[in-house]
Amino acid sequence: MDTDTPDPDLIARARHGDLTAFNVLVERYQTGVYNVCLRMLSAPAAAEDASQEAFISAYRSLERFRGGSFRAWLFRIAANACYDEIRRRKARPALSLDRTADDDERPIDPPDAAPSMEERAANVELHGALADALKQLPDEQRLAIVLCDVQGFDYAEIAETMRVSLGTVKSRISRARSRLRVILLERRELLSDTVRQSGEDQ
Amino acid sequence: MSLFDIFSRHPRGEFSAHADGELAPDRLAALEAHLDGCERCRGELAGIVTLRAALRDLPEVAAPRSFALTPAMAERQRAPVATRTTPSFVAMRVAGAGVAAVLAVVVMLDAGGIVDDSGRGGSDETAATFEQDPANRDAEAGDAVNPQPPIADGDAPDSLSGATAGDGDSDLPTTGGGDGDVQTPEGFKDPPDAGVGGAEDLPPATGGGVGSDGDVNVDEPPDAQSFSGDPDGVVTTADGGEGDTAGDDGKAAAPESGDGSPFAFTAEDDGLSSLLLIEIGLAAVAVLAIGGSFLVRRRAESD
Repeated sequence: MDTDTPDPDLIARARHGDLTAFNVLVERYQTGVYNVCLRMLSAPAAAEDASQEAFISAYRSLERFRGGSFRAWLFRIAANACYDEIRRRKARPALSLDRTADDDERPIDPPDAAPSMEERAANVELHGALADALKQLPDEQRLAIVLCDVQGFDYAEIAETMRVSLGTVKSRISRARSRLRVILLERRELLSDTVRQSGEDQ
Repeated sequence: MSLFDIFSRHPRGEFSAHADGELAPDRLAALEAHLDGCERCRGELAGIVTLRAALRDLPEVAAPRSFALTPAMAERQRAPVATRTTPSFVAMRVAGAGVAAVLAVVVMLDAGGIVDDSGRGGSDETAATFEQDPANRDAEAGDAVNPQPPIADGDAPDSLSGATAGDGDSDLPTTGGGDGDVQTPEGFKDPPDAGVGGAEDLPPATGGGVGSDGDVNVDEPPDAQSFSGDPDGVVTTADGGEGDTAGDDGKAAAPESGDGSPFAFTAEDDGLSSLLLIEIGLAAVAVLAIGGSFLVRRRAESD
């Protein structure tokens, strides 16, 4: 058993109590899970908790996984952990504010290994603007766009993760991007020359 | 490409799917045809593409630590699942169903009891029960438009103690026991259907009281709380669908109504309003239980 073992094999072993096999899955997906949680919660500490909770939850309900994409199933559990946290924040706004304040001391986006100082500064600015704009989206649109553009899921897998139709995925992503554009245009970030360049460099 | 297509149907909703390569082939052809003739949409699409690239350029953050499960996490968490979520989910649903069933039974007993007490005979034979009908109709007309607030029911038991009889006469300038007559003809004409149930549902014993109180209820809403008879009016209203045939009979007997002893059966009123309180309580519990089980189920499904 190594990092190349396919998901179904690891899942089968984990179901029989092989924790090591499950932890290979954890290592495989933890960056993605953590990043989704981070974008959903905008707070590193909360994202860490939600990620751990998601993996524990996945392990204990592994018997309920009925095939299909394990990644979609796992990310749905992670998304639910995030929704739980979002609900808790709404229930006690004061506490969540404290927590977010603490979290904000840690930067969400690490500095890129960008070639020049100027580009790096521009990228950091753009990424900050994007991250801020993402926060303003409704939770479901944010989840759809994060799965699509940050995790690179296709629409079918997003639909499986969010348990909605393809049409709903399509409209959520479309609306999310339209809204992001409005938000960013208002900040006059996106259409700056630097951003255009970074887009064309892709 | 017609002008209509160009200016009225900008398929903006499909730009994102197009940028993601998720557009069905037929839609893709239509979209590209549109784009050929619509510069504005080409600009919009370009904006979406730029945004998409920027989003995909967002750096991934390394996990701050490994989330690998320790044996302790695995052990501690695995046991509770089977015993905790499922049973509470089942228990919630059973509780909800049970409460709903109890509620249904209570309501049925309530309805049945009143119908039985007043005697189907009321509608079938005697004019006696119909005497009170007109006033009752008034009450029901009022209730139909403006359902009796629970507060009035809740207060009724308190106000029953002694003072009620006096209130009946003194608080109401226009309606004593007998004054109910004055109001009744209107009551008949206005709600031909709404009041139908009154004839059957009205307990004969409470007849006079209810009759006068019914008027009070309609004409003097603010005073409703001080009248012990009101709960009857409410209860009967709730069950009012029963007697379609009673309506015509009631009209005939109307002029005689309202002379009965208004508060002769306050004890029964008390019982009925208690029952109402119980019903309201059970309804609240049922709503909570059903809502709770729904939430639990959603969580269980989403896991």
